[in-house]
Amino acid sequence: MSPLLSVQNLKVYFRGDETVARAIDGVSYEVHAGETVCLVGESGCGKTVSALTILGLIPRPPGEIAGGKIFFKGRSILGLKEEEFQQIRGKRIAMVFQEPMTSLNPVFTVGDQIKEAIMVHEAIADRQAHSRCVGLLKDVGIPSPEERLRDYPHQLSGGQRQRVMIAMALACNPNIVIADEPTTALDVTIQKQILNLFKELQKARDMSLLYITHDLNVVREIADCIYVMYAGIIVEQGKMEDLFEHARHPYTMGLLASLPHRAKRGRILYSIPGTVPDPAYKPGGCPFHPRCEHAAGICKKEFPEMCDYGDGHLSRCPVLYERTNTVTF
Amino acid sequence: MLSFIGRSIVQKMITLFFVSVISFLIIHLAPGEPSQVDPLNPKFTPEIVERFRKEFHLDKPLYVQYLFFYRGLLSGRTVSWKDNQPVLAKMWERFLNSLPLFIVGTIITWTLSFPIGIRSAIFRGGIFDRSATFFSYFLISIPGFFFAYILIIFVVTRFQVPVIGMQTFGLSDASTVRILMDRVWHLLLPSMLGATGGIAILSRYVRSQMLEVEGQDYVRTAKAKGLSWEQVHYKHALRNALLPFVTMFGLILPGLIGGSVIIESIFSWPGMGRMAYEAILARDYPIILTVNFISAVLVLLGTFISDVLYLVVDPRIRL
Ligand SMILES: Nc1ncnc2c1ncn2[C@@H]1O[C@H](COP(=O)(O)OP(=O)(O)OP(=O)(O)O)[C@@H](O)[C@H]1O
Ligand SMILES: [Mg+2]
Repeated sequence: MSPLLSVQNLKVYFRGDETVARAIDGVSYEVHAGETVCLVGESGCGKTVSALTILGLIPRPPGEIAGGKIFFKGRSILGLKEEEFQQIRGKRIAMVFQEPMTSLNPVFTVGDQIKEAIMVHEAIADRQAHSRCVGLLKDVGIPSPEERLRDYPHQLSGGQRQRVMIAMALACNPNIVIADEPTTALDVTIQKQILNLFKELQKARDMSLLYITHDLNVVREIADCIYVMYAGIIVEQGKMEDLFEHARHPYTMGLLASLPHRAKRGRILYSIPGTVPDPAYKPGGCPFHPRCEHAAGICKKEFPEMCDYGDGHLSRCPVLYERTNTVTF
Repeated sequence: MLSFIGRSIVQKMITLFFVSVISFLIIHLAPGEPSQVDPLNPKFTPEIVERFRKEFHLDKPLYVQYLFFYRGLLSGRTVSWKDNQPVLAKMWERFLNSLPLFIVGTIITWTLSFPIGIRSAIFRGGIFDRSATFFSYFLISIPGFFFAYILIIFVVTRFQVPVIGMQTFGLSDASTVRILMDRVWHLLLPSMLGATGGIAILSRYVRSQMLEVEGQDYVRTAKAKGLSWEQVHYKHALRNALLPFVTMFGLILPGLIGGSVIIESIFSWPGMGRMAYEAILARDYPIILTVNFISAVLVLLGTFISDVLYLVVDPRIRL
């Protein structure tokens, strides 16, 4: 079956005065119908940029699509005209943003903002739109929806605002919802609730979910497939259980090792040494090599190819690939 | 809401009292006295100066003078020391002269600044934005009087119309249309000149407000919903960018009285600004203090109006 959304070798650069920040440097991933795909990576690795590119929301300039293709339902959408993109945004592909506190317009009521999302795509009467809004707020678990619709965003808590954002994203029954770290700005108990909400909604509506996060605990809860991003590239991808059980890339291993429940009691929690490279000054060869404990001479010189472990499990680390093969055979 | 209005009014009354005391003190403690305007004039014998001082209570202690003055002002009996005319009547006449200048100037300023600023922000870096930036800085930096003279020369030689003063004298027999056009010509140039500085500054301000709002997350949300270009910019962005200008709207009220001394002087326009300026030269305390007091009232009224307007337009402010 062909994927609902397919991103192929996407490159997005930001041109500064003297430097070019290669925020996304050849990223490919696929989202199939009814599937939850997680995009995982540290801050600054290009997760948000890749999501915004799908919706054609990268500010140009300074942004620039340097290459690649994006297909939605088999149709190339990367070069679409603004008016054509407007037909897709919100209606076919909807997005929930990272910052619930600032993503709603402070001068319009919640009801107006959700209603607007419906009425821009569907020619329905105001009353119908209103009852749809009430239903949507119920769906996302907001009590007394009639009253909340008359509220302004500042009257709601962060968790409620994010629920409103989710309701807005669901307004036109999109095929895919892109959730960009929807729980990062919320406190822990609310995070859990929102995550569960996503799980339920995804099942109930049989929609696809592209869930962006840096939290592997979240990934374990909801993902079918995982793509691990590092410095603008995908370093490892595969099915959720497979990846958690048999991580093949040093970066993924590091991320997993730094999960609290994996550490042994009384031991200091593992953390990957070093920091994410600046996208304007990425190291040559494998971008992860300065932080990698398995780095060999070749890692500094050659950009690593994807190595296939079967069953859709790919990892961009030839060094470990060779080692496993020599051990196995 | 009502308690806010009540509290605000009380606060403003207290402020007004202090303003009246301080402005009174500043005027009276400044060196020079009305009786000494013209010390070389042989008519000003010491006896006459003494009589003058007595008549206008200048020999009394300051607080008595203060009470005398504000009693006179509030009962409407204050007269100018220069020509013994009632101050309020004099001001009213000048005010009516300044009013058309003010209204036309303000309308020109606000109707031009907003489209220019908004367009510059939406198409930032484009040709329109860059030329608007250039002309703004040009108009801000060119001295007003210099620009005025150039324009006067241009208009007078090119269109052969008189522009100095409020109207051409000796036209009373001409047709109504002719008289009307004459008034319009006289009004247009000074109000346009008065507006240029305002347009240059206000359009910049609109632009920066709009730019800031355009970068906000909720504008991105609006785009992600699939809204049209117009809805994103003119509904979601503009509504927020306009909020601070509601405050400014209340603050243009004091401009009613200050007018522009320079423009009124260049065009020999018998308005409020020029009257205040002449009163200062003549040390005509009643006029200076009355102008001062009314300006203070207008400033306070303006801030009050902005506060209330803000309350109405920004849902985040609730009391
Ligand atoms: N408008 C922009 N102009 C210039 N550079 C940008 C812009 N947007 C993003 N970038 C660059 O692209 C890189 C990737 O940013 P992105 O926001 O996608 O990271 P992220 O993975 O979403 O991180 P986070 O977890 O912090 O949200 C960053 O290094 C950033 O500097
Ligand atoms: Mg992000």
